[in-house]
Formats: sequence, structure tokens, C-alpha cells
Amino acid sequence: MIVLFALVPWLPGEFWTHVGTEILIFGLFAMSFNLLYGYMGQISFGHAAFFGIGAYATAMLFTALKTSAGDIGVAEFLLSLLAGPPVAAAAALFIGFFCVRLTGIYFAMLTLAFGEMLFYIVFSWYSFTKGDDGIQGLLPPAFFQDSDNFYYFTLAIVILALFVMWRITESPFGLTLRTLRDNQRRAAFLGTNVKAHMLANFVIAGTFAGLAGALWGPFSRSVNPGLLGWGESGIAVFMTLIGGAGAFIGPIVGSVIYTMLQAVVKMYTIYWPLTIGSVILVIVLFAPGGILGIVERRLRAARPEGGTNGGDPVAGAGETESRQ
Amino acid sequence: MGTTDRKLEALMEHLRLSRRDFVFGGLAAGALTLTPRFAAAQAAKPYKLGVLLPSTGTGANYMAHCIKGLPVAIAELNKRGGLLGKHPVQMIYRDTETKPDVGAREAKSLILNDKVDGIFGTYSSAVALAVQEIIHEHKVLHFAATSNSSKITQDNYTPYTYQFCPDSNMQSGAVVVAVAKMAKKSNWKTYVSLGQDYEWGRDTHKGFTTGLAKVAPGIKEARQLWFKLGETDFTSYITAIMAAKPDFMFGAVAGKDAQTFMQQAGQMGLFKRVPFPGGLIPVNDLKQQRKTLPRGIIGLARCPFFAHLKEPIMQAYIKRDLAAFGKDDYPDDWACMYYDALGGLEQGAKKAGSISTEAIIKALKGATIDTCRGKRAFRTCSNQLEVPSYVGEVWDSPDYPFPIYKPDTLVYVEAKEVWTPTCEEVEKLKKKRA
Repeated sequence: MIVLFALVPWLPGEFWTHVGTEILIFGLFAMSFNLLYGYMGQISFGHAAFFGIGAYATAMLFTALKTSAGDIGVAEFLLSLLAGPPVAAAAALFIGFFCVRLTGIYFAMLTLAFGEMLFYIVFSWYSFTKGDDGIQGLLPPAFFQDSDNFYYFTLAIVILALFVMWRITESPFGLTLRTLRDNQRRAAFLGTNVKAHMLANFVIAGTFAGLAGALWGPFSRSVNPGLLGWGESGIAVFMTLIGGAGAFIGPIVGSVIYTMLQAVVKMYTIYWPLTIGSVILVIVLFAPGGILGIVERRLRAARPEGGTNGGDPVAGAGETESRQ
Repeated sequence: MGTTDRKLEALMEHLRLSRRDFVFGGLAAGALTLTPRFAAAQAAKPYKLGVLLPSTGTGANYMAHCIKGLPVAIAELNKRGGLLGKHPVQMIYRDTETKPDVGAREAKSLILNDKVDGIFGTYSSAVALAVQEIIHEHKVLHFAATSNSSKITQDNYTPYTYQFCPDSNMQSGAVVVAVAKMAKKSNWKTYVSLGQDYEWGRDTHKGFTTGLAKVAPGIKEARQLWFKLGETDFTSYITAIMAAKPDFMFGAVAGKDAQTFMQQAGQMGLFKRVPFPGGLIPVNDLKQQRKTLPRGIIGLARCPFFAHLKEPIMQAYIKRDLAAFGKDDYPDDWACMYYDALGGLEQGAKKAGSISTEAIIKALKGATIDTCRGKRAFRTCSNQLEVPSYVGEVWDSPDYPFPIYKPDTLVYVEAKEVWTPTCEEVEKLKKKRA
């Protein structure tokens, strides 16, 4: 998969490199969402708040570090990118403190409420966030203005981030999260500090969402309050459902399908919302494990009798959810 | 009749028959521009025009006539051979969903994938500001004709953007001029402001309060009320306005929210107790709210067709749109301004003798062009077209199936009456671009 991603700039037309960059950034965002949904079993409708906070933190520092001529140096640019994750992590710590006290629909509603609250703060606080206008002029240094260079830079960061996420999910902490997903009461009975684990995961997920947001501003050359809105959170949910919450790379696969489909469909019709709605409908009704869920089932069926599923403890997370 | 003439007739017929399906109309017209009807010009490359307007989201209602009207106007232009008589215009439409990041993405798609030469759009100022970053980087011509935050031509200035709509400062300035006259006549002393809590609302309010304080310092703002976009219940705001007992109220309210507010305020009798001059009431609202819009209220418009019926360009425009869409489907303010943008593109190319972006922006710098609103010049420092704003009393006309502004109350506030800030100040506002 990494090889395929590395070949994207070879596709004819610069546009597809931009689409590839978007796939990576939103893929990372969806992956961070899946830490909550696929691994911890809680759905967040306000996860974009951390994506947006990361984007705004970077945008604000970026703007502050620009020279009087309006450009920015490479060191300052990289420094501004570093601002996104910690600010998003701090916000996740604060919001998570309240959210992890609840589960299920109440958890989902509380994340939505916090997300919308942050959206309106950013939307309305003109003197600080520039309100609904957003912040423009986030043109990166000349080297990163080249779409291929920015793409490979993003690819490197996303690979590094996914490696860290993989290590986290395969660690004892990650296994504990799966236990919380499957049976919180039993985990608590075994002595697991449920709230502390949930909060730690909430902060980790928020941090990676903030990293994705930090990359988005310089890519899009601007940020706006919509990045914190529930619509943006919905994109992470859609991507995860399409790709499959039960596989580690499911959200990335979902991002490839969602973003490519969007780029192509919008060239021909205005009915993009109808298209993606139909796709989600089909996935939910006929492939609740997402695209990778189908692949996994096919592979399992092809194995000799008595074979195992390879031992991926996350497998079937989306399906488990749908059966509840 | 040649093959393509028949196709054009078929398109017009299609537009008559399926008015709701303006998108298919647009695509058909776009396709038509590529047909070999312009055999004499086929050696010249077509001019690809990207159109970024919302057909979903909050701006969709206001943009419907633009989206269905532009293909008809382009087909008419192409009948003359297109730009410079030899470059047929090919329209490529994209839905911005009234979202800045979607607008920026679609601008990239139009520029990098479709290789457009120019972009028209957008509806929302926030989307326009995001799109400006993309068009500036790729050096693509951009004509804005609806999104009217003053930042578009001032703080976020780029030489590639030209503005065909009166900006938020000019519009609020126009209300100031009109209100100052009314206040003097009626001895008004206090007012309450009601605004949509976002950039346009804040910007418009700031322009009005600053302007009124200069021309009528004795009039005081008693209270400010801000509501979120998409508000459905204005009861508490209406009650608060009544309780403050102002001599009049100022509103920075537009779109669907304006319709909702007008309806509820009318039912609660607000306008009988508190005059409301200067609320944005474009032709769309006059048409769509023909039954509920309180008569006698004083509205503000940007390009109402009935204000320029003597202009030959406006006459031809109305005639063509009525022929295409039906006898009652008069063009609205937004469609009118985008029609002027298309005219500006045609005249810019003619003046430049070229369809290259650099040549057109050079030719249009400070140029005077013919529009639906008469001869108008671009302000050299900001590329803002010096167009008037219109204030008048909503009134039932015997000539139209919907109310218009009463002719003897219609005030044309010319751009130069409300030309703020000065060019020196605009230069200071412009941000540095790398």
C-alpha cells in the first residue's frame, strides 16, 4: 500500500496529487477517529473539533511567524505544524474528562455538544479566530508549495503517525481498549481503570486528529470554522464505515474510496450528497464490516477448514457494533 | 437553419420545459459551446469558465437563477462567436455547498483538472476568501458578484479578483445615507440592531454604525441583538426590539433567515411599531415572499431589474430570461450581477485583444464597462465596480405579479457617495502576499 501511495505523483495531472494529499490527511483523521470507535467501542460525533483546533493552532502560529513580506521560512513552517497536536491534545484532555464518564449514545451526544460548542466559539470570536471568515494566506515555503513535495512530506508524516498508532494499538494499552470495547464491566471487575484508559485514548485520538488538522491548513491555504463542525466529524465516520472499523487500515481505505469518489462524482454531477448517502446505505445494510470486512470474510472462506482468522483481535469491531 | 442553430433552439426549448433542472441545462449549454456551430472560430481555443456557486447549503436558494441563467447568457454570447468573436465560452459548474473548504477544493479541481481560464463565484464571502488563495496562487482570473465582504477587495486583495457587487461597506453606507434622510424627516433618535452572527452580518453592522455616527451623531444605538445562522424562532428577538422602544431598527439579515424574520416580525406587528429601513430585500425575496412580505417596509437591494428598465442591456437581459424561463421569472439581483460579470469578461477580452488572464486584468484595471446598471468603472485600487445600492419601499405594482420598490421612493445611492475606505486606506489594509 505504501508503494502505491508513493506512486501517486506519477499519475498524470497535478490534480490527483492534491487528491492523494487529501486522502492521506483525511485518512489520518479517520484513523484517529477509529481509535475511539473501532478500538474503544465509542462513537464520537465531535471528533472534528480536534481536527479543527489543530488546524487553527497551526494557522495562528503560521500567521504570527510570517515575515513582513508575507512569506514564511522552512523552520517557522515546521514549527507551526508542531503547534497543532499539543493544542488539540489539551482540548481533548479537557473535553475527554467529561465525555469518558459516559458511554454509548450519551458519549456520542456529549462529544457532539462539545464539538458544536467549539465550532460556535471559533465561528463567533472575530478578534481571535477571525470568525466565519477563517484564516487565509497559509502558503507554505516555496519547497512545500510544489504539490509533489508537499505530498511526500505528508506521506512521511502519515506513515510515521500510523506506525505510532499501530504500536499503541498492539500494546497492552491497546489490548485493554479492546476489552473495554467488548465488556467494560468485566474490565473494571478485573481491576482496569476504565475512565483513565478511555481518557488516555481520547487524548491520543485528539492528538492525531490535531496532527491531521495541522497538515490541512497549509495544504488548503486557509482554515475555516467548518473544519470543527459536525459535518466534518461525519466524514471521519463515513470513511471508517466504508473502509471498515475492524481493520487497522480500514479508515485509510475508506478515505481512498470516499475522497476519490468525491473528486470524480463532483466533476459530473451536483448529486454528491445523494451518491455518498447511497454508498453508506449499501455499506450499512449489506457490508457492515466495510470493504475490508468483505475482503476478510472472503479470505476466511478461502482458508482450509479449521483455519483461524489470523488472530486480529480488532476484526469484526464494526460488525459487533451493528449486531448490538 | 444549421445543425447547431437547431441545437440552440432545442436548448432554449429544454430550458423552458425543465426550469427546475437548471443543472442539466447548464451542462447542455456547456456542451453546446463545444459544438462545431462556430466553425469559423473552431481554430481558436475555447475559453473555459469555471462557475463556483452553491446548489446545496444556505446559498442554494439565492443562486438558482444564476446557475440556470448563466448557460443561457453564455449560449447567447457563443452565438456571436464567444470572446473576441472566436473563443466560445465553455462553462464548467461546481457546487461549493456553501462551504469554504469545498469551495477551495473545487477551485483546485477546476484549475488543475479542467484547466479553466477564469472562475466566477462564489455566494458566501467566507468561501470567496478561501477560493482567492487558490486563484491567486495559480494566477487565474476571478470575478466575484455575490459574496460582498469588503475584505475580498481590500484585506484579502489579489489583482486577479474583480468585484461586481456593491461590497458590505457600500451597502451599509447606502442604508446610512437613506436612514439619515429619514431620521431627519421623522426626528429619530434611537435604534436597535439585529444581525446574523457571522462575517457579513458583523461587517454590515459595523459599516452602518460607523457611517451613521458620522452623518447623524445624535442617533444612538440602544441595543445590539445577534442571532445564529439558521435561526427558526425570532420571538425573543422581536420581543426585545419592541421592549427597547427604538425609533427604528437596523437589520443585517439576509437569505432564509431574513424570510423567517420578516414573516414572524410581520405576524407579531413589529413593523407597525418600529420602522425597519434597510433590510436586504432582493428580487428573490420580493418574488418568493410576495404574499407575506409586509408592504411599506423599506428594503435594500443590490441589482434590482426594475431600477434600470431604461438600460438597453437590462432590457435585453430581461427579455431573454423571460423567454427562457417563463413570463414571471424575472432575473434576480444575483443573476443580474453575474450577467454583468459575463459582460465584463467579454468587454475585458475585447479591450485586451486577448483571452489571457494577465491581459484581461490589465485591460480591466480602472476600466469603464457597460452593464445592466449603466456605464460603471472599476476602482483602481481594489477592482471594485462602482455600482449603486438601492433603497426603497416595498409596494404592489400593477405591472408585476410580485411587489417591487415603489418608484417614487427608490433611492439610488451611488458608489462614490459611500466610497469607504479611501484608496490610501485600502492600500494599508491589503495583506502582503508571498
